[in-house]
Amino acid sequence: MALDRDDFQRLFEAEREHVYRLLYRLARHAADADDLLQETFLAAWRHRDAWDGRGAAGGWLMTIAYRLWLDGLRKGSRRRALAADAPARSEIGPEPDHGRAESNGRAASQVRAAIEQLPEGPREACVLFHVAGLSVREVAEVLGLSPKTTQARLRRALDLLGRHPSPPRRQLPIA
Amino acid sequence: MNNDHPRHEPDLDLDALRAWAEGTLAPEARRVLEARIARDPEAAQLAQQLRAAQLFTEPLRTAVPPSRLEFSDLTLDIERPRSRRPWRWVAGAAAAVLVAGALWLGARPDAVPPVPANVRLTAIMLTGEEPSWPAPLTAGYRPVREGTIAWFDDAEAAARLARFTGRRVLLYVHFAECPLCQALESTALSDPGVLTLLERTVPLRLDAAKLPEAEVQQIMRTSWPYLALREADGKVVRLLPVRAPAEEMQQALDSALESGPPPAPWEQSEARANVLAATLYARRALLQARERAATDPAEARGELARAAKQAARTPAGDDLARVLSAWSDGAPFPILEEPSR
Repeated sequence: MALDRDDFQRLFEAEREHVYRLLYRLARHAADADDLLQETFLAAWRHRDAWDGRGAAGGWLMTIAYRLWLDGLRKGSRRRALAADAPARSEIGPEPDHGRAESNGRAASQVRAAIEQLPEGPREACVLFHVAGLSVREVAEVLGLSPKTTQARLRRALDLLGRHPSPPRRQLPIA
Repeated sequence: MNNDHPRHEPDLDLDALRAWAEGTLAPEARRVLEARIARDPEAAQLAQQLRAAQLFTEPLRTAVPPSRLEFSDLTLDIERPRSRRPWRWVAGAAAAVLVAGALWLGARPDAVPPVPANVRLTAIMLTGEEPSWPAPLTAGYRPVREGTIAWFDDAEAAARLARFTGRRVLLYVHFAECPLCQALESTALSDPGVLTLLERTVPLRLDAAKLPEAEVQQIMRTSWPYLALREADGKVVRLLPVRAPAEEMQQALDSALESGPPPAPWEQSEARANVLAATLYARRALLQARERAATDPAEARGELARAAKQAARTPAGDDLARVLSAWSDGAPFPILEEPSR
């Protein structure tokens, strides 16, 4: 089934926010996420014959989006990435998170560092499941794996993250 | 199903466990899952791991703003006919002949190379330190939201914001189980009059449990709980009464704030931070485009156009638009002149 322009516009309207959410959580930067979103839909349009119209278009688009994000990282063409230490989450325009952004930024850096230490397979699954919020089925689709293998990678990530040391707790003073 | 052999039970559904950890699982599914967790140690361990991982990764699950991309941004590209149409081949062949001709001409020693345009920038400095601003401002930070104080828990971040906005820091040292702290929070620190005055400060709350022991002892000798208005550099302006009625706190805070210069409105500081953010964004985009122009001018132009759109209606966005309009097809990247410092 070949998508015509109207079908494609409907697909864009239906999936834009879903795909953008994934890209924003990965790129952590509104402008980069929008650029990637545009590239995703343009790539989808160019390869629209590859989608048979029966499967979930969201999964197809997220696979394209994830690969474009990875490509961008490999080429070093993105300003921000999950692995990067971003001083601010939005460069232009406000975000709906009020206060504590800087200390959250530091906590986020620690989490990113811990995730970066995971082996590639569990790391990819962990980022898509825990950070981007995809379901196991969606993660499997994006990574081109079976749901069973995806579950196994996620459980491996959970095991490894569980060994990450928590911040030490101190004795509280008494009033 | 044999409860003595939980390994025979179906595989645990990680989606359901995550929804359970987040408290969004439907009641019936939750009941079934919790029964499983109660009887199956493996399920219990996995549930605990998953909940810990969700908590651990929570700082990365930032709120997602709406996308700015519209379908109209795609239409120029998607309305371009597909390359397999015959006339595209003809056009492609013609273009190849033109390119070959241009290359031949370019190779001739007397061919005149295209001259790059000059663009004088008005806002973007290409050298020197990158502009910086306190990050919370571009996230719309305000000290009080819907009657709740948006405390900082990082002294450096609070001081940076205080300096940027011309405010003083309201430092509150507490710890979770302290009854006096709880009393203070439910009285004076919830009082509407006090909350209004807090708009003129940057509120910083530090957990005594995370401070050096000597510092905590020092603070507890001064006042407990500790609440003081301080300059951004840490100098105490006034120690505030923590065991007095809210009215007394309001008066003390008011007179302490009056002793300093009036701060700029939050909206003004936020606008300044947004301009700096746009300038940094535009500077990086411009440098990247200039670097990429030599190898992939089309991509460089596309990225610059997207950046100009993102930074539109700011001085830095105007700079990008000027560079784009001066950069003719086939010409080298314009020569950029920085604004005078």
